[in-house]
Amino acid sequence: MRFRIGCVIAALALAVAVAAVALAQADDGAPPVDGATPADTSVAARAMDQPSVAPTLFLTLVNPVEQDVEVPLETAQLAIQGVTLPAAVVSIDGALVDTDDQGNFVGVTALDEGANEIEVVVSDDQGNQVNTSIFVTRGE
Amino acid sequence: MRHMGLSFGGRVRAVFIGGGFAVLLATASLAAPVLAADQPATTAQAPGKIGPDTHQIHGVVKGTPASGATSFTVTTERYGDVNVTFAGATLRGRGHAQGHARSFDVAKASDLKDGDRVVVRGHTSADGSSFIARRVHVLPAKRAGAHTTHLVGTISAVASASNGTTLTLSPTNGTASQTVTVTSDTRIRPEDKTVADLKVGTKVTVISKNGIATGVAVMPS
Repeated sequence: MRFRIGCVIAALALAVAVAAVALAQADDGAPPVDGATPADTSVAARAMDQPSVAPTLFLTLVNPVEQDVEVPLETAQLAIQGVTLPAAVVSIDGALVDTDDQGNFVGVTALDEGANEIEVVVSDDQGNQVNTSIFVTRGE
Repeated sequence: MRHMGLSFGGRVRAVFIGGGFAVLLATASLAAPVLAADQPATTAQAPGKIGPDTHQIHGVVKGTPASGATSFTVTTERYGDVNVTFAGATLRGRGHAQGHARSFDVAKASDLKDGDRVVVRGHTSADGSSFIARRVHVLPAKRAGAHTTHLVGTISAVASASNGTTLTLSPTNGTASQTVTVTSDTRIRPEDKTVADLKVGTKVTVISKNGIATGVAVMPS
């Protein structure tokens, strides 16, 4: 009888340990389900945890996702969609692009036949910049 | 089942010791994946490998291919150094468009030189050791001022010019003042702002490409 009670206590201790670890995992934060906007969620989390620290400037391209893109010859323009800080200034291929209050932006750029390098630059009011390039081949 | 003649106290101790080990084991097995996930992913920092889904790479030609060469090396950000096999291609007639330099194709590997920025179309070889090029495009060389710049600063002077309005900016980063010319082609944002709003003391971000101000974003005061 006492042995059984001891076993029950051990099982309870094991259950408590399992629950504690599960809670610790939940606190760590599950990976974002929507893989398209990981930077968006991480910046929001940081901003809430540390309200006195300015959120870090970031640039996430939503479309196209890849840096290397091929389009048919008939495609003379490419729409580029992304996310950054809401107050950031965005340019696509040197042209100023509007952002909404969530930091989403869309810009359309003309494509030459052959290889095109399209530079996307975002900046904040402190002069920080983040940029990336998309390499689009038109007509192969 | 016998209990090896342990006393009651001994059994209780045995149960707690056994339970303690069980708890430790369970904690370690469950916590290990969590701790492992927190470690830096060393594999993610290493360059990726070209594969069956790789149909285009971009990078810089490493070394000038010799005359008659059928391969060359491209240094890429994503894949590191990639060996490219190129048997040659028929050129298409392309010049310059819209007044700016554009890419051009090369017919053979020896047309390339060290430092050329290229976009290569093709596929990965069966053994994954090289990229077999179908076409090689050379991008225009990056000249100083050719790429886009964002200049954040406060307007310290405004003057009329023959082709628009000249702004003198004191950059936020403390560097020397710079002058930019805003023309009728320069886009000013937000939508309700005009060149008349570009006054001394206004904080702006000026976007320039090839030395021309293409846009001015008026920052909130």
